[in-house]
Order: sequence, then C-alpha cells, then structure tokens
Amino acid sequence: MTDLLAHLKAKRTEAGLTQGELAERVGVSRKTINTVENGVFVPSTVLALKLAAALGTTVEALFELPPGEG
Amino acid sequence: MPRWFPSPEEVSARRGRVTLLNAGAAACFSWVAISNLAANPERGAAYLLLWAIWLAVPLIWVFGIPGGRRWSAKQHAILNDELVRAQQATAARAGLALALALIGAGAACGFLGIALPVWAAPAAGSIAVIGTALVFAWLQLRDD
Repeated sequence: MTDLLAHLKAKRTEAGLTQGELAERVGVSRKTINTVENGVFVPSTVLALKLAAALGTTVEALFELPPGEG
Repeated sequence: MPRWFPSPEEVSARRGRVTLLNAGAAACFSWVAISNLAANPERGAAYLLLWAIWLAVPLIWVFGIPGGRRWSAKQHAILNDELVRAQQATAARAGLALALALIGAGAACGFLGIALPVWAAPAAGSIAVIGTALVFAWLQLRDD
C-alpha cells in the first residue's frame, strides 16, 4: 500500500530526463528512482529534496499525501 | 561520474542471486552441522563453529557492501543507497520476527513440559538467518 502520491514520473518526463540520468544526478540507483515513481518506496526527506533540486521544482510539486490524509 | 562495469542494476541482481545461493548453501551446511551435532554431541563445539561460519556468509552478503576496493566511495554509496538500506531493514525485521516466533515456540514447549533436543537452538538460528537472507534476495531480485 502506498501512502504518498508521487508525480515524479511526470516531472521527470517534463524535464526530458531518463530514470538513469535522474539517478546519476541524485546519486542513487535507477531502481530506486523506479520504485519511487511506482509508489513502492517512499523516499527520505533528503532524497525528496535532492530529486526536487535535480528537476528544478519543489518537493510539494513532486509528492503529495493521498486525499483525506493531509 | 566514475565508469560502471557492470551497472548498479546488474550488481544488485547479482547480489540477490549470490545471496539466494548462499542461503541455500547455508541451509545445506546447517543441516549437516546440526545432524552431526545431534549424532556426536561430544564434538559439538567444532560443529557449532562450522555452523556459525556458514551462517555468517549469507549475512555478509545481506549487510555488506559489494565490490570491495574496486569501486569508489561514490559507487559504494549508490550500491547501498537508501532503497537497499530499506530492504536490509525489511529483511532484518523478517529475520527478527522469525527468531521471536521460534523463541516463543520454544518457550511454549518449556511451559508444556516438552524437552527440546540439543539441535533446536541452532536450528532456530539457522531458520532466522536463512529467512533474513531469502527476504533480502527476493527484494533485490524483484522487478519493481
């Protein structure tokens, strides 16, 4: 069960990056990016901030709580 | 960025496969060591040492960092990134849950007056460690 809605895939595609390129920018494996995009893995605050910085956006734009949990 | 050979994904998959093989080997050697312990309790210390060495191998693959000195600190950080650390924690939780369940079963036997054989404690240890390794291997090999 996922407890975080991730818009990472949309933002990454918008930025024209592949999962591998984004992974290289933030210093994690491509599998980690894939699991975050699929909602399998909830990233730490540090990784969320790194992802936002790498994509030139904010953490709030990348992730949100499911409706009714905010 | 340093050159990768092989890629982190290949290393992760290899780590999962080797952990799985080591869990199988540890299960076989545990069986042999525990059978010998039951048959020859006077040589118990030697068999327990062999048992402990074989159980340490899968744990090194679960909690160690692959690659040794071949790769840089940055590459090691990618190989043990926060997803892998979360998988290690999940595997450790599963192993601990197994160990606690087996301790509970052993304690229940004590309350019921059932005498446990000499091999019960090492067998419980083997199950907990091999369970930890199997969960980690599954998480590493799973296609997310």
